Amino acid sequence: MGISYHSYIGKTVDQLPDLPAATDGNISLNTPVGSCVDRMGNVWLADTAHNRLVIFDQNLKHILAVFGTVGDGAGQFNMPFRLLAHPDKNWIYVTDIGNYRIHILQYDNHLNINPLKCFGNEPAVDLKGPNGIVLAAGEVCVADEFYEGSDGESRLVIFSDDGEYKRSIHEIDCQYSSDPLHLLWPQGLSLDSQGNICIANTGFNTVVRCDWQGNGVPFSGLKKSYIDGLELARDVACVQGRILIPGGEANAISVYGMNGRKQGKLEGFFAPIQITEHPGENRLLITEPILASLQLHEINLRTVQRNNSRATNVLVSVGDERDNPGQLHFVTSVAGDVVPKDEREGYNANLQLEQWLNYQQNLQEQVVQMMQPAGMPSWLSLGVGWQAEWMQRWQQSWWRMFLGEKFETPDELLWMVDAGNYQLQATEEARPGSARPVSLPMLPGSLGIAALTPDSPLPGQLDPSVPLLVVSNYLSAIVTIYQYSPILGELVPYTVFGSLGSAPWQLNKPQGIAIDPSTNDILIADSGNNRIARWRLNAIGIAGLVDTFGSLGEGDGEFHTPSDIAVDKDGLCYVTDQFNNRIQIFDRDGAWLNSFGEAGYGVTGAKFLLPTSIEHEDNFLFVSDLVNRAIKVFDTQGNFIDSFSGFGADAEKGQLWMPYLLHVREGKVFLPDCALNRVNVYQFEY
Amino acid sequence: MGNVFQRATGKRLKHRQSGSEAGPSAASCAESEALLNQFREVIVEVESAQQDKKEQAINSLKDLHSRHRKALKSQCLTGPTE
Repeated sequence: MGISYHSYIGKTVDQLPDLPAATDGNISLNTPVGSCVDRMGNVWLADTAHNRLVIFDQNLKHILAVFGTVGDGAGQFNMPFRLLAHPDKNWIYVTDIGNYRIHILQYDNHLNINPLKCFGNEPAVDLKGPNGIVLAAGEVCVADEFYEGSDGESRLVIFSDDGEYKRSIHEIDCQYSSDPLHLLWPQGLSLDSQGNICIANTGFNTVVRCDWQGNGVPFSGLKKSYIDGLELARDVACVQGRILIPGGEANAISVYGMNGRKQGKLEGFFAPIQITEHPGENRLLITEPILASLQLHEINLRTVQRNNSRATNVLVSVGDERDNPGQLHFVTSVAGDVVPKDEREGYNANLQLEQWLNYQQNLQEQVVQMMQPAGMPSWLSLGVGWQAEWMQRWQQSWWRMFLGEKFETPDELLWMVDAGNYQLQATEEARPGSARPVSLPMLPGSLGIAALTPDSPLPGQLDPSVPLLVVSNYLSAIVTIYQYSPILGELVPYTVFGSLGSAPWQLNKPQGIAIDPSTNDILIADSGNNRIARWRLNAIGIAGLVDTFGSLGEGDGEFHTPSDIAVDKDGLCYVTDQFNNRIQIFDRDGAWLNSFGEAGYGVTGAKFLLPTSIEHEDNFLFVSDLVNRAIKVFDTQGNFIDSFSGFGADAEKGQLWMPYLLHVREGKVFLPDCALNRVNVYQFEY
Repeated sequence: MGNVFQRATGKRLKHRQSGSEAGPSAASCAESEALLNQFREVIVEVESAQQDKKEQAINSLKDLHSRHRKALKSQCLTGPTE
């Protein structure tokens, strides 16, 4: 009995033309994170899920070089994360988080790149998750994100600039308090003008400041060494006399003065991570990993004051829309199953005409891009980008209908929410390039999916042989039930329910969905309202609310962000209570029965760190444990059976970065990873 | 062991319980409701068109498209600005 890796779905598009080459039209990025500017002014980007570095000219107009492949040898990476240019030497530091080490790469004026050294993975140091990195006065400081100290705390590790271990900082001493500050999952680091280290302390949602000995450095406006009240602190950047905190507020970069007081925010972002100063005046390089984009922005941060909101000007945006055939973009959930067949028999397509239409579409995309002038405000750029992509999705739908492209057996498909492309894709086979679009464009924010087969055909149901697909939308809180149209060969909406709010019939940030096999009810993890909602589709196809259960808290039957739900044949409900790090079990009436699990690192047993997704099959529970990057299998009493784990971006090993809502069918475990942009398939044998 | 996790979890929970975390705006809630109603109207159109022929179905879907475009253009669609 055990679980093992089988294959993946989601094509990798990482080929480049002969370099140097124009950036436009030549590069597809895969969740890029870190960036830096070298001594010649070239821009280096960690194309993290592609396990490579890409080097651009200063204006991002040309790709100059590419370096790295997946692996653990010299010059190889497993998720190159953050980059740092040495100020005095032609060295680039790369935190290679999946290999638990740091590279020093040496480059010359022609961008010949040689791996000089790796450090941090020696037993005496044994980094567990090198993330942010800074350098000052001949020393390098690295945030060791997943290091587990005696109380579970993470640490900072100090090396000489050539990689010799010096010391570790396990806690930040504070003059104003007898209690030291601890770090949990620190990510980005940045230096203030005095050389002090600012730390994005993600686990506590704070930004902490200390010196290189671990002494807290209070912010003068706060009289304490940390900035609090943040929605999220995934990074920090000290730029132009301001402290920038990506994610400090949703879809924005919070701006603080060096005294720790809030000045305002930069709006119009999605989920930005690293901010790097660019040599141009008032210019910032900002990575948007989920949008698969590196952007050059212009903003005078001195104009952000008195708590105002400012938009930046977007000068350049690098990266495509990740909508090449077979490619996925922020895939979040799946339903159905794979039933392999001969591909040409399974999908009707007119390839010659399709190629011509793709050519025409590319021309149109170029026209659309030309209509988006450089210097557009960031919020408008994001909005126009969304609308342009939306238009393209519709055009693609028309073409598929026009060409009569459809699956031969739509009743036997695996359906995937390709959220970043605003569509569902489907496949018959668990192989990389097999996914094909199959739905009309959906609203941005689509997230969870479940297949529902009514007890008897519903009025207006066009093809009862194909299950209805229930899709939750995280942003609009609308749940759409799609049905398959045999005429169009597409999924079209059948009915909708929900809407945003906290009234019983409303939802807020709905995530996972499950169908109760004992009643055919639709259960929704209403994560923003901290409850589970039960809906029922009646015999005439109208959705109605049956009940809700749960509220915010940490007691029995209470939730802190319930992210997913599974239901067994008797109607027992199993919920991932994400921020309480446990699985809660309820009867079919929503009465609490039991819980299992506690917070902690570990790839075996019932220690969880942000359990995100759960599925039930044949009296087994499958749990995706986010921080531990593990799929854990339990029996329904919570006894551990087996697990698969692996942190990284190696597609051949089934490794995970940001696993989302898993799905199990006949022992096949489908786990979409929204950062790696693929659906991993595992096999559970029992 | 566990102390740091418990403190971090407790801090997040306290933050949410204090109500200081921004909830959805009234504009977003209203937009969500309007979108829901638009969906309902279009579904009726799509269903009726499906019974006839493909062109009518496509025309109805074009209506859906234009309505959604309006929702996107209105800039108060829930997220990403919220």
